[in-house]
Amino acid sequence: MNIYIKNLILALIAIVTLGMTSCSEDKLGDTIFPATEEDLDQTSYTYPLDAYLRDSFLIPYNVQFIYKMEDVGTKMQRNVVPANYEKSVQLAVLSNYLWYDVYRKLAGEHELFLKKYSPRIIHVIGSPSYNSDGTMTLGYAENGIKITLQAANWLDYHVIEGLRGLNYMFFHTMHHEFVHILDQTYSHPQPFNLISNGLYDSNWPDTPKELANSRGFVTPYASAEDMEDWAELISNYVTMNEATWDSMMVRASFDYDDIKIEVENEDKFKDSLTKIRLTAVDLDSVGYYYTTSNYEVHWIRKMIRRDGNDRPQPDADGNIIYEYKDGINGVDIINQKLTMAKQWLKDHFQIDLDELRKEVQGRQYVTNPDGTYKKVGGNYVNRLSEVDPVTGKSLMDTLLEDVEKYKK
Amino acid sequence: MNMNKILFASVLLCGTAMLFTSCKNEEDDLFSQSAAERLDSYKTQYTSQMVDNAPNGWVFQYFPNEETSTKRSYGYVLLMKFFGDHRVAMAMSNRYSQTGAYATDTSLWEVITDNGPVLSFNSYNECLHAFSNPFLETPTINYLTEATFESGEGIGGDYEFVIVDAPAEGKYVTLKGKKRATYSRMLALPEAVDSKQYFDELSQLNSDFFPKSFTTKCRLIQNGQTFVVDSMSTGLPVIYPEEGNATDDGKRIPFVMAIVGDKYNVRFRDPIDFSDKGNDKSASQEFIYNPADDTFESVSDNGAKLVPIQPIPFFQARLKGVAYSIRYDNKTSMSDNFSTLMNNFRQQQSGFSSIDLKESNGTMLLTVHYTRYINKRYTPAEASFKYQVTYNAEDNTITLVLDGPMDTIASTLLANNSALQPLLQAFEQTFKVSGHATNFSLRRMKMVSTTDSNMWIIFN
Repeated sequence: MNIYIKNLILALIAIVTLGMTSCSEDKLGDTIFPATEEDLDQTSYTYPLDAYLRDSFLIPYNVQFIYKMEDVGTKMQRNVVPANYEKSVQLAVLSNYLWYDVYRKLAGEHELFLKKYSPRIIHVIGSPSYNSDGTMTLGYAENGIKITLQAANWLDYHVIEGLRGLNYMFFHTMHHEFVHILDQTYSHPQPFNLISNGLYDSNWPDTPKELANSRGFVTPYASAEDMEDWAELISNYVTMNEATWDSMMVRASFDYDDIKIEVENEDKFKDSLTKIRLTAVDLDSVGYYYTTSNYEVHWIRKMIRRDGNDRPQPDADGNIIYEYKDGINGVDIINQKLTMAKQWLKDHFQIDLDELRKEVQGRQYVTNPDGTYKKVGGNYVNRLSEVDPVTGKSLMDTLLEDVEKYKK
Repeated sequence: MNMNKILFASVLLCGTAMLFTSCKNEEDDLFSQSAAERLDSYKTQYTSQMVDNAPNGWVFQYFPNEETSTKRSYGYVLLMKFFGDHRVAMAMSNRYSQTGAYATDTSLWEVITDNGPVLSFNSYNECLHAFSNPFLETPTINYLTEATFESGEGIGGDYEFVIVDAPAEGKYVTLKGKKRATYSRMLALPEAVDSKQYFDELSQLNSDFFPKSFTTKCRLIQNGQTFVVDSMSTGLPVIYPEEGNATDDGKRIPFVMAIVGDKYNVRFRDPIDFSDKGNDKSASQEFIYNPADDTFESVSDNGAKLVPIQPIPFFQARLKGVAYSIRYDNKTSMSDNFSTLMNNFRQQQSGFSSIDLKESNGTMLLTVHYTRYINKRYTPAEASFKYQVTYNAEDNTITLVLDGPMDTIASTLLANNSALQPLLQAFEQTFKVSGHATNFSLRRMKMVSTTDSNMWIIFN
């Protein structure tokens, strides 16, 4: 090789080498952040809860339970407020007792299951957030990493069922979002998406529960899309008590008329209502009316045989004759979906869905020695708030002691 | 071969030149510490200051949002006391108190490192977060049925604040809302206060200066210009140049009044800036009451003042259409000598209840309200007495000269009650006229004898 070319190459190498080392570099010193073993401030008012969360979530499952709201961790387009401290304590112990501890016990891999699949962050927010369609968001999951639980300030452990109950507000949401996370690891079976294909409707907020159930959806929200259908199915099966689930299935066993009522003017509205009322024979055929978000008025009633004047036409014994015209058997469809869900959980996570349900509900409701649920006045007895006559304490009191012990 | 030599030399030369320029743009450190270290240091410093700089707590002059034309635009006063264990106790008394007019609650606080040091109230407090909550449990007051609550927005107030200015030994902290970017301020209380009592006194103060049911106007004198400040009593006054009008030239800026020690503090949410570019650094925002001349003086060195309107022109106009009255037994609204005269007349005329003043056709009428026994029943009656009236706007005085009874009813009353004449004569003199506590509120008229300052009376 030409000597000049050789020297040129050598010179270039030298220049590049010198260039890389010619500028001074900052010397790295010790970390500026405190690196102590005890990273919790024991003088802080919140030390008991912080220590509980460290020992019950962070160390065993690598989960960060954030109750001091981080504004940047919320949806900035929504106005929300932080959770009340006492409510945060309650939510923390209940999350452990009704969610983490249950899966730890029943999942095939126990603690490892939670380490693998649990969200890494649970973020608690005090209020719900409101959407432009009038609905409110109680919780959401993000990329399998984080679950945000909202409306914590509405938590009342004395109430398990109902719109302000623990299940609807929190634990159904937790199980729902958790199913989404599991779904991201092992997708739910594709045939599931075909069962209700064509019936999903983004207008679910305006869908009454009767219609949703009769079409094979456990809740109106399940009719939004297949992923929500999947999560709603499992989470509601786990959290709905038997009576509530059975009521839902009864609703699913009927077909319904959904009649839009003309309301352009008051006379037409009254005419429509009068006509419907005149045709009522008994409560079973009456139904009720509801309004939608775009101010339509609808009347929903069970589908029964009627004459030309829209009057019920009972049989010879005077019994209502129910009709089924839409070709959809809501009960069969829900059961079909449930079978798939049970198999999926068993195959991928070694979780028996029925055992999961039994465990969760056994922790929420008082049971008799024979395993049946204790009822008073037809209502399930809340295990969390029921006071033990011997100890004078409720289960919730005992759970809260797990936090209180850190005060010492 | 020559080309190779030239090429070699060129590359060597260029490379060397590049070598020397590669470090050209390195700059010396402006700070001795990294940004993370400085932020951490401020976090520690401000955390201590919140607790240590105000052992008696802070008055928080809070402006939840940046709006100017809705009911959500008002400012509010909260009391806060920070503890070293990261609790904060708050108190307030306003329309958003869920538990009634007065509310207290304790929650958590922290100085966090965001893009800068941020004071975060990161657990729910019934006081502060009422302004942020998109949902209120008990919408029992009219304003709570506004569409904004139904849509889940709430008032949209901040509860995280960038710490803009917090001098190390200072007795104030200036905060900027993270979302709404409005400036709020905390002032250290010099003495411990009972928070319920504080808000009772503050309510009385607001009532004295800017009563709700009474339109008040005052003037802002700033940089040689005079501005009208109209409707301070609403909490959202409109401010406009005196030569202009409210519609075309007005700005609505909410304000709050607070008591800090023995000082009355008025703070507007925004500087009162009428410059063309809106960047007048001398624009006033905060004022302290000077009782000596009954004005609010700007805390910045610009000589600006909020001054009340002159009482005599106001009363002179108002007395033509409105009667100012006083009950005979309202002892807190009159001096002992007036009280004695009233009671003496009352002993003679048992139905005597009140007197009022009103101008009619250039004559001041003092009307006595009493009851007459006619046809076996007591009937409300009144008798008026005429005074010549002279107003002096320069020294804010009113001079009354008694003319006599207006009609036979009055004459009869006078003849039958010897104690009435002294009462009427007590009004025949010159009075200094002002608002009862301050001229910022002329809802009540105080008349003080210019010859005997212990002789005074306050009409409503």
